[in-house]
Amino acid sequence: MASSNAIGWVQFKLLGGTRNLCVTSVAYAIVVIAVMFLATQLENPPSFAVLGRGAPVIMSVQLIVLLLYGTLRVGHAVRLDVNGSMIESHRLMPVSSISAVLGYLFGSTAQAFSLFVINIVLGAACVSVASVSPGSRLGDAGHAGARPDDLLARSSRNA
Amino acid sequence: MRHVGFTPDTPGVYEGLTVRHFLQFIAMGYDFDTQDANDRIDFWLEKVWLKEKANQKIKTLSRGMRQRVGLARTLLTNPALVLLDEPAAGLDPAGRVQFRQLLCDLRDQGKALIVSSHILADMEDYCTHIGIMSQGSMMRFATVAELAKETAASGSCRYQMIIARAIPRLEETLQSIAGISRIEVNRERAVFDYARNSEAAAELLVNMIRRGIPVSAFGPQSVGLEEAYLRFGIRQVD
Repeated sequence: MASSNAIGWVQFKLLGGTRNLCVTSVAYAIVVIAVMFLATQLENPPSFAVLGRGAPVIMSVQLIVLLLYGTLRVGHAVRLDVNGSMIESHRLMPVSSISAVLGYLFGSTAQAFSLFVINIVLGAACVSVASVSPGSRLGDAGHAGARPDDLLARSSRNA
Repeated sequence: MRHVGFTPDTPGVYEGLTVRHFLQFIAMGYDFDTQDANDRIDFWLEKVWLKEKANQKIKTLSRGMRQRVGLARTLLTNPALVLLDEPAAGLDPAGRVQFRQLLCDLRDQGKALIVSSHILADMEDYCTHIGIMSQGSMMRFATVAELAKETAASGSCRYQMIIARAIPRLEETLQSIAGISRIEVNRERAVFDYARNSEAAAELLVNMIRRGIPVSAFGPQSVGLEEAYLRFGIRQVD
């Protein structure tokens, strides 16, 4: 326990700990993947190219997650400690100021950071899949974008 | 600050955490290693009678139990100086007895305990010194024995009288009896100062009955610290 940041740990625990973090992250990832899949299916013909247009959307979500949700979480955590007299308790603890600040910054925003990482991964996947050249990947120069069902079928055939 | 422990009147706790997690957080803040922390947590949960509630969220606990969590939080770090503000508030009678015993144990271990409390009867058991404060000033500071001796040596005593039914002009009737002072009447109950001598008290009882006061109970209202406190005439407790 000696090397841990107590305030960060407790803020993380108050958010529901590892279990809640995993559930939230997985649920969020599923929702985003489902939206991405639906977006490809709504194209006529279905195409991954639409995902390229989703990058700005994901950037906006990143902004909301980090700037809005993240700061709200930190503000809420500090307010909770002030109103619940926990600040008095923290003052008695041999915890350095910098450690306390880092605890509030990273402990109470664990979920926001998790969503941030998921967004980066999914955003990178979006851009990567959308920028696949149909000619080089599918050998079909006539298509503006790759059809998901074709892509899957050809990938399995190549394998 | 490492050697100072403080439990306020309403201890700050994280309601969303279990009792054990809350104490783990405190142990983490004081840099205890995991094994030491767990040993201390188990020890103090046992001492403050919360062992069965260890995995229960604090928000489900009663006020008295939260008070005990606050106490465990303070004592977990083994401070040399313990400051307690109204520590027995919210404790049930059995809890208060156990709590007194716990404070006696801490005192016997050589810890310095500073307790702010309005439950003076309890304090007689575990305090060595008493300071009576009013409006931020120290009115008297002495050992419990010294205060008790002063009180016993004083000529008057605070008596309480219960009457069978409320009667008109009780206060005036009592005022008319020589030697009675500081009279407070509240329906069927009256308290006043009178000579400590038991012969004098017996005569007073006869006198009151003769004056038509339907006395159903009569005796010294308080003893020890409470009486010493009342002798200072402090009415409003801050």
